[in-house]
Amino acid sequence: MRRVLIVGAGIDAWMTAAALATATRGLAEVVVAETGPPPVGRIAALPSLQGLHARLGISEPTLAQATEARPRLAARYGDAIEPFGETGVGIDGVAFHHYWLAAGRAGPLTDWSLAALAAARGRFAPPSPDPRSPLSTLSYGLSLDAAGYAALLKRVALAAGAKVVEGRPDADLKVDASGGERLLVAHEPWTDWSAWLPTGVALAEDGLISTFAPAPARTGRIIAAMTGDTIAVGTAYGAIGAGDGGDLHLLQGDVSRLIALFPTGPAAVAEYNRLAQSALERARDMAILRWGDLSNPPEPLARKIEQFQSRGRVVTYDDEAWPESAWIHAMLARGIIPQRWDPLADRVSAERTREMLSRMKAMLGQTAEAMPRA
Amino acid sequence: MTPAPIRSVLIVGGGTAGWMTAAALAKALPKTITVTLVESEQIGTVGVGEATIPPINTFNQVLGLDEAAFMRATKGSFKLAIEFVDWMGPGHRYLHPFGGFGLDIEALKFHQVWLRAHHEGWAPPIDAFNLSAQAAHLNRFAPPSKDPGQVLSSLKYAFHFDAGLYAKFLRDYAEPRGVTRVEGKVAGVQQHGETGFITGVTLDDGRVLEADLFVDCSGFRGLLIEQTLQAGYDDWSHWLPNDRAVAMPCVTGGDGLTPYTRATADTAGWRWRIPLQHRTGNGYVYSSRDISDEDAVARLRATLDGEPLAEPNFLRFQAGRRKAAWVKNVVAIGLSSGFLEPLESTSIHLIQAGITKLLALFPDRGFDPVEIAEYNRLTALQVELIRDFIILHFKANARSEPYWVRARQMEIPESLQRKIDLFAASGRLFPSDLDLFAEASWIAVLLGQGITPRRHDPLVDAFDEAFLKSQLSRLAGLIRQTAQALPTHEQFIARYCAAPHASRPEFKP
Repeated sequence: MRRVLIVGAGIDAWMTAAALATATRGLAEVVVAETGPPPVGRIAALPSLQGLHARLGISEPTLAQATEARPRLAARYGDAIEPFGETGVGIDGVAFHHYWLAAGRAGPLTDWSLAALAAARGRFAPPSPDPRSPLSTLSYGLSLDAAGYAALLKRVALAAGAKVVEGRPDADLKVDASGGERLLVAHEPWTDWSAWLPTGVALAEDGLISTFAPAPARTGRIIAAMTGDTIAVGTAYGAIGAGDGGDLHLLQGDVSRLIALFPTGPAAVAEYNRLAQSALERARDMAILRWGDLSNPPEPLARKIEQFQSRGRVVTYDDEAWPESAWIHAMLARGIIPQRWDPLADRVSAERTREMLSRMKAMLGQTAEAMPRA
Repeated sequence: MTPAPIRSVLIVGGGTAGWMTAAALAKALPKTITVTLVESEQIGTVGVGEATIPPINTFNQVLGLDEAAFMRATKGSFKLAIEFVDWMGPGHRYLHPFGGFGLDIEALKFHQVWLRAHHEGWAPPIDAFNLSAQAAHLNRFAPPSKDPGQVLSSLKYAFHFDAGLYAKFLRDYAEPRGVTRVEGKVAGVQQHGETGFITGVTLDDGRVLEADLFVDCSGFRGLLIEQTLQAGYDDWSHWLPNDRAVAMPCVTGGDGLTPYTRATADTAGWRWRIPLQHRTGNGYVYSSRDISDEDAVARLRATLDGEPLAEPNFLRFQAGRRKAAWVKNVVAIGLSSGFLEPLESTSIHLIQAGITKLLALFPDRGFDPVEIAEYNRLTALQVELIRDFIILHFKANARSEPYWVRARQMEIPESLQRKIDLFAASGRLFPSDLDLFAEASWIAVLLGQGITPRRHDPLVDAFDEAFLKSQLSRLAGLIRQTAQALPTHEQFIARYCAAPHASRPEFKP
């Protein structure tokens, strides 16, 4: 692999360039044909973005300075709040929400989420590495200034050896990172998802609880992420309108997968396409659950809903973007309430369960109160 | 309105599956549910699964078993690896050790670094980078360190034990915790006239045992799941043609009390060697189309490394899985749910996986089809991934007998072919989250069976050779020194968990 050409702009193009240039350490020439103006406004990112920054050597202060990064502990879609991190503590291998169901749902589930309690109080502290501390259940995403973030990634990419080029020189691998423009893959057959996802969402109000509102999006994907020597990443491959951090997470996943596989032979290309499709569709299912049309969901999501509705069981597949707790909150937010719970939760008497829940809630409330103001 | 809870569970059949289930239910279920196990001393148990894999530790820990007591009671030894001998022709051997290989360098997988070294001709064997493997080579063992900073924390282990004694040990655990054992032979099964649900079983002395939920641990025949409910069977013998085994324990000789299982390829199948404290378990798993029972037992006798301690015990089976492991109010656990030859010591694990899923999806008297479907979906996926891993050993062989040539030429499941093709091209591997065998296991067996990737990850070439050489040699050195400092397997057992009467038992032919 001598040269990789990235066509696109903004975060999509520069995240790809930064990660590739860092990983290839000069083995391949990474060139970027910049196509558009930098993005504007603020965007949301998931906790997982921090892993990428560690690999790119982007420190928290650098990020804060370049993007006015602010932590966010929860997301609001419509009326419902969905916190990051863990909610409650499971007992004897039975997940917490089963005890909450067994005790008759005495209050919203978010009452047992430290992130939700802290966000409601305008308080924040970084998670604790000590598993005994309630702060260890915290996890946080970020909101970032999009233009500042794209510029930071560009600086990292250029420092790692990537170059801006004029025109589109020949390359062994071409990456379409042009978002919805799909400059290199516009002619590829399209699978339309607008019946499930007539809109996307975008960040409407920044804060510890970030609010997302419907935003227009043309949802769907091209048939194959990689065909021949061209690979589409991020929205150029598939769009679910996930301005809640989902899009960024998918982009990050595409770039990591590209680096892990460096797909050249047919077996690697097939594997790349299989994994990319699986990751996109799992994130799509969460998007449908959060803001899409649930009247006729795709089969894997239908199974998830059925299992959750039946007895609060969370089904996860390979390549999931979201942890179990996110699925639980999203289900409840859409009014999908389990009819029953895990019978093993009944090993604890109803009275003791109620007691335990109220103790846990009080303890989390106190912890939240003791956190510093954001 | 929540349907009424289960009041009673009847486990039909003892043995390893029955008593593991009984022990786990006794521990996990609310005390309001009665658990009964019916078994007959007249029906022998199969007990092929005498070697285990590391997840057994989780099972034992959930029950709260004392490891040393369990080892003493089952005359057990430790297991760090499986040694595969002669699969690539006479004299060839490799280890499939527990645990991973080496340490990733930044975002690069360790095995990709190793592959570059291999392609450049300066790589030591990959098992130099796995502590379990190095300890196995030296016949040494000690439990892993809990400090993740120590090399010793990377050691992963499981056990060899007498499955019959394990069942007995779990019986002694389950009975005081409320499980009722009934001695008797099942003579009849009653079903509900409309639903076909099982309402009870009749014993040969006329007693009737009723329950809400039945666990079928009756072995190959599947007394409830197949003979009564006719779940059906997916036959996999076109991929896994072995249909017989003959087992025969012997006095431990040869390489002695090795902390690893050995699986040696033979003319028409493969032989196992599993050393316990008081004897060595041996067996020959073969295809009856390719060798007669007489020839198989003669071959087994000829390859024992000590005096035989029992007459040969013949087993028959058919590779495959029950089409549905859970039908109506019957859950099949163990051999009643399907059979995969014990080449990767998965028999006991499949029992454990069945129990874990049953607890995670424990029903109520409504027996919601949604949950039954989920149990069956997960079971099918898990077993098929294990099946693929076992098929790999046969497909990628380099032996010349007709049995092995056929194996090499067979069509394999698409899911496995895809894995092999991708690994052969570039050493890449993306196992499913549901796959019992993690990346390192696939790497060990793919490489061991001669599938060496044509290319390594080009990103490894960004590092200079001297740097990688020093990293690899430091790592191998650390692992070797750590292994050398361990006590021998025999010393450790003598000190920690020696069985009271581990001397040679009586045997009168």
